[in-house]
Amino acid sequence: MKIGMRTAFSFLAVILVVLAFSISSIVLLQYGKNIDLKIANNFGPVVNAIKDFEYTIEETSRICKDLSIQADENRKNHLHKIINRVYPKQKLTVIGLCQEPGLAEIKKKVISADKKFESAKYLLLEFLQLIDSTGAYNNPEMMQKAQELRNQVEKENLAIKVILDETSLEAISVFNKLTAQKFASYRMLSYLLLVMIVVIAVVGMLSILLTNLTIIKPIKELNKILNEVGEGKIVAIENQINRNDEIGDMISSAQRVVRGFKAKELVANAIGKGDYEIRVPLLSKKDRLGRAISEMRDNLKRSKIIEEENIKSLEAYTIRLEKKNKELDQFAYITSHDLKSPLRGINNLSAWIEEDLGEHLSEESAGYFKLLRGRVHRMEDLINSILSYSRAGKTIENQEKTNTQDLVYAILEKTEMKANTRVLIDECLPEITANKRDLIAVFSVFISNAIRHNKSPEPILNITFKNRGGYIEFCIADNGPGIEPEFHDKIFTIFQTLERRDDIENIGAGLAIAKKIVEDYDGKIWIESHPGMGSRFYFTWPSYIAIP
Amino acid sequence: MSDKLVNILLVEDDEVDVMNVKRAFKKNNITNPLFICNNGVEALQFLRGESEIPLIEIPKIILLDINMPKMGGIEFLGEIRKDEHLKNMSVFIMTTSNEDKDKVDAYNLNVAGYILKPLSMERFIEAVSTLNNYWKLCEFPEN
Repeated sequence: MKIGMRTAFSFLAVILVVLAFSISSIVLLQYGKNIDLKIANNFGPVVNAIKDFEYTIEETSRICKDLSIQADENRKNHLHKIINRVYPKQKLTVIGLCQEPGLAEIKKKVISADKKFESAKYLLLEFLQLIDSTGAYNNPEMMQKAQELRNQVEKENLAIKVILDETSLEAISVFNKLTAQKFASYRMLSYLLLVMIVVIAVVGMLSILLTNLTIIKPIKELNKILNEVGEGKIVAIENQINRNDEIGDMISSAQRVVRGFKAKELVANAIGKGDYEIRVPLLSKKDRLGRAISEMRDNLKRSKIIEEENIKSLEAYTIRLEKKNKELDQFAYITSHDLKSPLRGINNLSAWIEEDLGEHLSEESAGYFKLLRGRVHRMEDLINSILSYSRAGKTIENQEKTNTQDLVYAILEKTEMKANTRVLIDECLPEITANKRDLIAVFSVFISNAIRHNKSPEPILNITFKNRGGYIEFCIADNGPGIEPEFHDKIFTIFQTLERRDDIENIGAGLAIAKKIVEDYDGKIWIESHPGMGSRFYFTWPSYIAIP
Repeated sequence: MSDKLVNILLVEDDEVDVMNVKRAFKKNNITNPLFICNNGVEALQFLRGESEIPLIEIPKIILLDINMPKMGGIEFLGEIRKDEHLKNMSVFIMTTSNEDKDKVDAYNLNVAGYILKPLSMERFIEAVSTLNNYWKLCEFPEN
């Protein structure tokens, strides 16, 4: 049953109960009031009227007694008046008041009293006739007769008085009975009120209990679940609640919401894991979340395709780049070879000309020939440097554990240096992973530079290292002339020399080659130096790692 | 020591280099007969008697350049090592190529030596003189 209906029914029931109680209260009150009215309108007057009636009858006895002693015209008239006018009027009043059904007995008694008075009335009239006759008071016989009549009247009246006393008592008892009924109805009313209060209280408590059990509890459970959903934790509502009221509808709506979310969660997870073909279930045409997820999936799919294309084009680009690099190497190799041949030709031809001319050659011309050949040699060096530079880099083959200590000593053995050169090398230089030739090329550049450019009377060469975790930082320091900071970047560029080539035969490729190799090994190369303070060249190299 | 002078074949495309060798021979008073071919193809034709120059005796020694048109030195070496009649010739590479690959390839084909052409005339003469002494010292089988 729907809650609305149920609420309406309970409301109606309460209204009915209240109405019933109200109506019964009104009925009871009316009943009491009616009894009050009866008492006021009928019973009070009845008792008084009976008393008046009794008094009037007693009055006749008294007047009769007085008249039996002496004649009195006034009393005689008064008696007439009672018999003819007062008594019938009072009789009618009493009987009129006794029309209520509860007073039927009294009415009967009053009528029987009246019947008795009819005979008394005849006796009275006979008495009056007797004393009206002339000289009656003086006639003892007549007086005797009057006295007898008076006695009979008194007797009758006494009997009537007994009846009327009884009647009056009975009326009072009826009155008391009515009053008792009135109080009983009021008591009934108070009981009724008490019962009503108890009934309403019980019904109220029952309805609160019932509401708690059937409405508030499921709503609370539902609320808890929806709160969890609100916090993002999607849990299915397990309890299968079979209810066909609004709460049942609400729970099934909530279940639909949760199921919808659950389905979306599954789909979103699948999309997150890369399944872009999954169908997004749309709950209805108005399912905006579903449409948003579907759009997201399409966007991801598109970006994935674009990404794959990018990777492909990047791979193609890398392959092309590698090919170009190889071509460039090949180009450098062939070019330098082809350049060297004519150069040697020039050199030879000039030598032969010089030889053939022999003594005919002027001293000046001989000098020119010397310069010519010097330039030719420099050109050969330049070509060789280009060749070395183009070939320099990380050699993939023969990557092995290399002891730098041994390697540095081997280089130093082959290096010419002044006898007083002090070479200070950190004990236990580390082992690193390298192609030996690459590492020799790098160290050779630094060592030969440090010695060749050092014009100090007591040259010092110092090689140290620091373990930087994952890579080693080498430092090759000298006490040479030092280099101005503005040239620190320039010296690593190929063919950049800081001195005239004619003064020191220096091509300016060594540091560029070293830089190329070091950077190919993902290392860094830099210098710290100031004029007059020597130079410290640094480079980093990966530490030794076990080669599988 | 035999007085008989062995024939020498120079395979070289550069005219100045040929002159250079001739001049160096002259300086060192090397009188061995010197045949000249400009590339590998020509040299093979000459050695197989297919050339215009009549082949009286197969040269015992070849001075071989590497970078040449038509057929390079390494390719030529490969050809003669496969040839039953030519495979035991002494071959000296004389080249400008300082490439490891060329050196490895050459020694794999059993060259007697690998000489880098120096730039200066004097040093080349010295080198040729050493060579001359070397092959004077060596005994070669008759035919």
